[in-house]
Amino acid sequence: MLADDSVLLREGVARLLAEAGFQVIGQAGDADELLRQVAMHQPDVAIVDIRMPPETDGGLRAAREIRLAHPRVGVLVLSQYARPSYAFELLSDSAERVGYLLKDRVADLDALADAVRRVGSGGSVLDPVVVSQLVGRPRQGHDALENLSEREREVLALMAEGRSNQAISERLVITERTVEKHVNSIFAKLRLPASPEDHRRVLAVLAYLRA
Amino acid sequence: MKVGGRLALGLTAVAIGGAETALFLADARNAFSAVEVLLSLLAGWSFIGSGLVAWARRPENRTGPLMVLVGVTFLAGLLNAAEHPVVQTLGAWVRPLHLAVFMHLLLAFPGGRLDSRLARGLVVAAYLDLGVLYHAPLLLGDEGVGRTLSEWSFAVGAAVFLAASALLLQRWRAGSRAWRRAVAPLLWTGALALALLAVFNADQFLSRPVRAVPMWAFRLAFIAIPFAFLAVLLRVRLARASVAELVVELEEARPSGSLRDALARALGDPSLTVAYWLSDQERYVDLEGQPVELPADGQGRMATMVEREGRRVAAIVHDRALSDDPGLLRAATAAAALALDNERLQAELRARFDELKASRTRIVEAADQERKRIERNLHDGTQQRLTSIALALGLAESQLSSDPRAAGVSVRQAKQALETALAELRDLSHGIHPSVLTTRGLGPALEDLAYTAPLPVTVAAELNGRLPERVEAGAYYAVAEGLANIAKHAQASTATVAVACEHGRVLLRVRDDGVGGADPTRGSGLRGLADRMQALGGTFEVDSPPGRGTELRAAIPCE
Repeated sequence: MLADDSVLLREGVARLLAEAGFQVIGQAGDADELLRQVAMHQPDVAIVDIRMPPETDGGLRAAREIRLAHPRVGVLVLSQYARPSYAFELLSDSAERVGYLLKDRVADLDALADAVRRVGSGGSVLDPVVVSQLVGRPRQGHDALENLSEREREVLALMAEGRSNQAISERLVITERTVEKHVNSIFAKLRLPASPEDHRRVLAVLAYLRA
Repeated sequence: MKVGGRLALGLTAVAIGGAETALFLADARNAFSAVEVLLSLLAGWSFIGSGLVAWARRPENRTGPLMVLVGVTFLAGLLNAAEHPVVQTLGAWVRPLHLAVFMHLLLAFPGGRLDSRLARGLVVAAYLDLGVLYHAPLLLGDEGVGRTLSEWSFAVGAAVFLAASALLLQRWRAGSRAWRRAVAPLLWTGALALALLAVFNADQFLSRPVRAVPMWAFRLAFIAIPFAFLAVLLRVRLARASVAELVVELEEARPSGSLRDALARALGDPSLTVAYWLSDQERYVDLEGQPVELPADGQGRMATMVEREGRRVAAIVHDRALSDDPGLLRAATAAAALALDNERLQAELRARFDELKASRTRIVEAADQERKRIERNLHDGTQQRLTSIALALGLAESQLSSDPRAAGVSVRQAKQALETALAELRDLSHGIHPSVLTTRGLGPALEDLAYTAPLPVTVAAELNGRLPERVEAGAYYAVAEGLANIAKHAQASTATVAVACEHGRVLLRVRDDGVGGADPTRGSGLRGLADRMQALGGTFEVDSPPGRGTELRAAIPCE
């Protein structure tokens, strides 16, 4: 399910996704059409442009309505805004079946396909650019992040992006055991309660980074 | 001296005169003619009478007492016609002294004080000459040294009186028009009298058989002095009458600027100017709204403050001589206070208008600058990159059939360039107007600012709902500019941003713990911010003591 007010972009993304083996079951040019089609088709994932008429953030509203009305439908929001506010807003209630990706990523088919898959399978996605802003920003007083090793910071960033231990281990080319060790160490150092589920973990990490 | 004291003194003077009259009537030696007695009494009493009047009007001014002293010493000197040896000796000693007091009086006019070293020296010399040297024969005998000293006392007298006369003329020359006008009769008569005295002394010293100037000429000038003094007083009264004219003039409709002319006429000072006080800017301006500096103390000019209902309204910059008559100044400024206040409002309006024009120009210039910056970024960044993408894609197209591998490399390059271009566009559009500000309002937009600031920033936003768009934008850019300044100049370790809505105003505070010393009048950033806040009807302050951080405060009305 694809919603974007720009026909060109919508068609382009649809073609890319079809290429990657996805089935695009509907396209919408505005929020009302999107909500109607989602209700009708109940897709695994709705990909929504944040900028949707009539408002500049119409896509975000539509995304929230979908999540309220159809909790089984995953929502991936494409945004041209790299600042964290919108992302927090989207992920604030629950990080399950939801993603916030910069629109630039559509050029990277693998990244886009990966994000759609993760959202569709109940996970969360947060764009690396947004995460790096959060991890990299200076903090007041004693910064517990400074206690993390370089590797632990990388793992933290990947966790914030919503990746599973397995994905992290593949990305960093280490064993899943090692990833688990790093994760436990990070949670201990940041005094965060350990969460087994990936999407809860994302929320805990984001809450920490946001503070 | 109290009124009673002065009355007693006046009565004493009358008593002395009475005693002398009795003395002359019973005069055995026939030293004076009846006319001479009458003229002498007239002269003495004139001095004492005018002196007492002056004393009563200006108790702090020594002119009055000095005039009384001239009269008393003059009358006492006449006692040397008495038969009693002690009274006679006393009279003989005091008699020449009245000339020294007389000179003292003239040199001390109008303030009652000797204001130069030369004047003080001359007065001391005159007292010594006429009080001691002149009487050398009394102590040392009529012949020999006593006689020589006595002769020389005339030479000293001639020199001192001549110098004093010259000093008066010099003062006349140096004085302003207003001053000359006020003191003309006294100064001229005084200078003439002193010059005559000098000539008389020279005659005595040279023992000429025929005097160049008869003594009666001096006596005439001497007697004229109290009347000249009265004339000066009268002129001041006339000046008071001109205040009445001023009041009438103020009642009539006037073109702006004629108030100054009216004041200048009333106070007799054509050089007079008016400076209007702008209380909110704490400076003086002229009618055109241009800044004016008041003259420093100790110059020929001075400023008199005009207040109305306890508020400072204006300052009248005038010749120092006018301060000789503070009553006149007070009367004139009191009469003109209301009119001055009206003109002050005009001046304030003009000053505001000029300020507004300047700030509007700066805002337009800032907008132009911003447009140029965006154009440059688009042209140098995005456009260049898009061109290179077109080139890479063109290359890929031509390579497609001959060398598919090379074509793949070109396409990858094009894709990378495209990603960079997109990131640049994103930053650029955010810099122009952040979308979060439009959609979510000031609080979230400020938090985003804090996330991307290069130092830890704490944001405390206490806002109930959304504010008018221009207010949110104004507040956002104020904080953005403040944080950018902190990042650039403050060398701070943390910063805090506080926003609250109180009594229909948004109050902003951006504080850091850096080096301070920021100057809001320099640097286009703070200046532009001040303009922006003013354009929103708000206020803007910078508090930046060196070494103790910087605090920007702004208040924007939001109703």
